[in-house]
Amino acid sequence: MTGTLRCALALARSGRMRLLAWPLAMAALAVMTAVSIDEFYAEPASRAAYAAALEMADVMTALGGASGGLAQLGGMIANELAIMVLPAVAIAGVMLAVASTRAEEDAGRTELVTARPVAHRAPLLGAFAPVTASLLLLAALVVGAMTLVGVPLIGAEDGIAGPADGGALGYGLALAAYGLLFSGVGFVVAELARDARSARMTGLAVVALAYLVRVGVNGAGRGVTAGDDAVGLSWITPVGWFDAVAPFAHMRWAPLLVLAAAALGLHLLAVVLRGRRDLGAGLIAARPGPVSAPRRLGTPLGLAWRLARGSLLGWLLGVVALAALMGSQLPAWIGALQQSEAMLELMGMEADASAVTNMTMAFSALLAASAGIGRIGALAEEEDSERLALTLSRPVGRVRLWSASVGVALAGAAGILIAAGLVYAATGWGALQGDAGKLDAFSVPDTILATAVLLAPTLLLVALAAAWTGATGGSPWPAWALLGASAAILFLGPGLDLPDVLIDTAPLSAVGTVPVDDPVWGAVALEAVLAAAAVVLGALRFARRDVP
Amino acid sequence: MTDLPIIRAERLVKRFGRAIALDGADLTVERGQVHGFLGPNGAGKSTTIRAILGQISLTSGELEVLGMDPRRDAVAIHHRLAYVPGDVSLWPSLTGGQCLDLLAGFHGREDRARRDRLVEAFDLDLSKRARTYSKGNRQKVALVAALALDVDLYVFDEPTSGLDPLMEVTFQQAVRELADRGATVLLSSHILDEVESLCSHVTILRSGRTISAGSLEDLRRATTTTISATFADEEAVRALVERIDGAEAVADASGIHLTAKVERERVAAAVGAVAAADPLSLVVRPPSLDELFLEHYAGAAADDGAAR
Repeated sequence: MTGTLRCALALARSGRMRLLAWPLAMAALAVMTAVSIDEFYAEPASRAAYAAALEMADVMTALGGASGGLAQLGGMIANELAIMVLPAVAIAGVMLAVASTRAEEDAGRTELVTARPVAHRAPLLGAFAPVTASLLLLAALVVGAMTLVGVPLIGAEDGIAGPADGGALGYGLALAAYGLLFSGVGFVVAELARDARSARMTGLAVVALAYLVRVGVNGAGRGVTAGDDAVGLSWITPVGWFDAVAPFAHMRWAPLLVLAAAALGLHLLAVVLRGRRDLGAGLIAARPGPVSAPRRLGTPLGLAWRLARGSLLGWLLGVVALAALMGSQLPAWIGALQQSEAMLELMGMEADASAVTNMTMAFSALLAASAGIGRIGALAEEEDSERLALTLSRPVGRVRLWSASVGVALAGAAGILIAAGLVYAATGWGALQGDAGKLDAFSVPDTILATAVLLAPTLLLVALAAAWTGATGGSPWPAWALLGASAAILFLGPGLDLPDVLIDTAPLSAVGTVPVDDPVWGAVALEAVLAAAAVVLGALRFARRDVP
Repeated sequence: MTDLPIIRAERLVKRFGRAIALDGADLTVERGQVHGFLGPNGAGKSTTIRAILGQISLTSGELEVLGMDPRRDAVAIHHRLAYVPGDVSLWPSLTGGQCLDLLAGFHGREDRARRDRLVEAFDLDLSKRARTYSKGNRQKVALVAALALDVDLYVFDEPTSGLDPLMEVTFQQAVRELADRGATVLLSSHILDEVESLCSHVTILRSGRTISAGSLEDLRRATTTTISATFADEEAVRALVERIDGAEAVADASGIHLTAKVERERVAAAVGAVAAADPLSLVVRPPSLDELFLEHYAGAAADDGAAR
């Protein structure tokens, strides 16, 4: 196709930041995890305890790694990484795909390019190359990190039972196919959606749905977590297919081939759809809307809410679904924990729901913070598109306008987290009715405590985003980076044996593993104060600086 | 082969969902013409141009560009076509020069000398990053990129909307050079002066339909010359008003003002009659296409109003 190579090069050039950021971030994570696991579990004998602890906490296989193979170093690394890698790689696939296609089109650059001797599908085919390369690089770097600490590329570790065709390479192939499947999703959605924004939203919703179903399947002990060798219900979602490959336990080729075939099929579908589509419009036509708007749309708060309500409601739905799912699984999980009560006591752990509560609320806090930071990102987009300048040319004070938008972001994040806590508590309590023994193991006040405590880091992350965008007018990427780092430290920290100072300063972990441990009230107070200071600082800078 | 129209559009229809953007539009651009493409906002000019570029598919109608199908043969056509869009957006992190190189790369060949001349003529600083360019400068980059190409057809969609008057002059000069070379130009513009000064033919679109198409000469012939004269003597004015068809008189403190719109054939006689009546002042204004165009545009508003 004429012009494909040039389109690919242009996209690689202009998108090099995002194309390299994801692989490098995942690589760093993989290296740290691999080195840490190797440090602690180099001796095969020491790994039994790790596996045993995991068996008792089904919640971990619901949210994190579920592929087993924990007798091998590679298996343990893969397991530790899963809770970060699985959502992150899927999100990366979708975001990279949309950014390389629809976003370029919305910006008007594709129009300039296609007026040149360029085939109609060339911009799309050209986009495949850098996105695929980025995801392959990501997988390769993660494989590299594993081999760094001695995980065999092909085959099982010396002296340990495992599939002879498995190993780091198998893991890399599965991860690459997984990422490419979701970039395929992104490319297809980019052809259907109205614009880049709704394409991103839809793509992320697909990721969320796939993940939630997987949480349900794994949490209920079906699918690959059922204990037998069957794949079972894991066939329902692509995340389940990835689980099923299990390169360190079984190395099943069927799910790997299905991942690859689905990825290919989706890319082909996108090419077909592009052939039918007019440039600048999605295949799903935009519908006309109401002619007039209520007066409150002409106020800072009214406008901020109107712009935010769609995405905030979307996030709310996702988080509430997760919370409900977790709450509904409590009977099964508490049951499993109570069966191993003696073991747990030896390890100094409680046989109650506090670990599940902590996981659920921490995850919800991350998602709620994402919703808030997303709104701040939208505010940066308003400035970039000069709509902000247009609004400010009206008799509207700067601080008032900014405060309204930031207020909606903060209130939205807080509201989402609180809703998660309430729904989790309600579904958990409801599901445990009729089983007094298990009901005792679940504490609603603890859930409320965890929610309240986690409000601080959630609001802090959103406030930092607001301060950054208020001061610079740019996208709040530092807040996203901090969110990612906090998530990594939170989920992988214990396994990585990171220096205490890191765990004590990362927003989400600094407040303590509530309700398993007591909250660190000092950290909570500090974070609240910092959040308030960030908001004020952002407002002051916004009031003074040039816009845009 | 040489008498094939460069663009042949017949009965173009394009629907976006339920909205009708083109409702039987026609456009014929012959080789060597500088063809103006006019019409009120929302008339369907940009839609037609997008169809010519193969960016959208038509609901029905026939469209041939350089004798080929714009969708199927897009690559072949675009080798012989240059385009400047109405709203230019570039790659924010690249400099103007890098953007020009990027765009030139798609054609594979480039007349560097011509490009450098244009950059100087348009006074463009190529070392600045695209995100720091004003709207006008972004437009200049797109103009230079298009004008530097040596092709058969140039399509401009409101190319000078952000340019200052000096650059407008530079643009007009460049278009004249293109026409001298024998190239064909399709110019969609709202700047009527620009159209009048550059174009040999115009097509006027309204509500997705072509309402007028022809050479500017023919259009000028259909318009009227305006004769304005001021008199002190009421008698003389009354006589003239009776004698000249379409003459009107208005009295105010500075005298009695006579205004007459006269067709070309009767201009000489009318001017003679007015001059013989010994006016205080006499102005003869040549036919203005502004008024003709505005009449067509206003007709749109009136028609739409009546339809509602």
